[in-house]
Amino acid sequence: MNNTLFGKVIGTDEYKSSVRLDDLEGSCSCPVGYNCKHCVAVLLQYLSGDYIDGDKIIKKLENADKSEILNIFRRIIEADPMLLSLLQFSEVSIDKNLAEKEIKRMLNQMKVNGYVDENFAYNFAKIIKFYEDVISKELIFSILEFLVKNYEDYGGFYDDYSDRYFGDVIFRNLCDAFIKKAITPEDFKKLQELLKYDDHGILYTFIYEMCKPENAQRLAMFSKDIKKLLNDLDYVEFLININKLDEAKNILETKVFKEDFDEWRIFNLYLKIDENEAMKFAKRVLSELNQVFL
Amino acid sequence: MNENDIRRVYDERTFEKGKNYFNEGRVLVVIS
Repeated sequence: MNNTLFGKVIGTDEYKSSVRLDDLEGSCSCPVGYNCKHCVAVLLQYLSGDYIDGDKIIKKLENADKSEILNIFRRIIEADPMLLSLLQFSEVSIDKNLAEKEIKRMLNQMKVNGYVDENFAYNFAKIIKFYEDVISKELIFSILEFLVKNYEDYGGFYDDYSDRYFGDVIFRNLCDAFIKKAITPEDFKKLQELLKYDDHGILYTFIYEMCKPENAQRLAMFSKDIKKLLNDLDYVEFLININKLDEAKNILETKVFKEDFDEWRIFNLYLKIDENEAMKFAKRVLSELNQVFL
Repeated sequence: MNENDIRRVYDERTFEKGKNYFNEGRVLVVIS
């Protein structure tokens, strides 16, 4: 189209490349940005004859009637709702009802399909990110409730073959959307209630996301409510990120942490509070180790 | 257009890497 090739190539990521046919100059969404191996791959694919003739499609559309075009358009959006962002009508791209409808459709699809693969999960995460400003807090809770209570039905975002979990990005995006809403202490009670059903711990990412610096600062006034949701070390991280260093240090000094990997994390948390305290902690751990092994 | 035309614009290493990508079927779609 326009004497240009448009292609998608799988490299480290999926890249969009375009190459002008007159001088073969290419640009690409990869880190190199232009005249890269992805552009070469697109050109060779074109040379092989295995490509779609975009001009032919446009020509066909020129002769199609309006309802036919609308139908095609609808199918394209259903296949990739993110394409809505290409529309210039802002009232379409930020429509609250459309967001709700689309998300509920995807949830329903999860149940019907019986298993959610990585690609679907990634698309779902993209949809949440795309609509994060317009989806309501209630919808976020109903998504969380669905994901917790229907874990077995959609496979829990887990790939048994590669023994890999791919749901983190969904819960991170849900939390990012949640943080932007008008939050009340009641919301944390709702989350506590949901945690009772979360046998597989899938809400952990959502809750831990609240500890991240920019999110923690927005939630600083709810620290007491958040404390009930977090484990001690995550809560210390939250306190550090809202600059309540004394309280964070106090917890580190008074609580007993038993997990093997805690020492390294505690050392890093101390580092954020006070370097001298971190060194003292490291010396203490080393001397305890010496007592055990020597 | 043929492979030599592409080689004239792209350096040898990039061309070989791109050719590998093409041979490995990494090109998902091309629209002309």
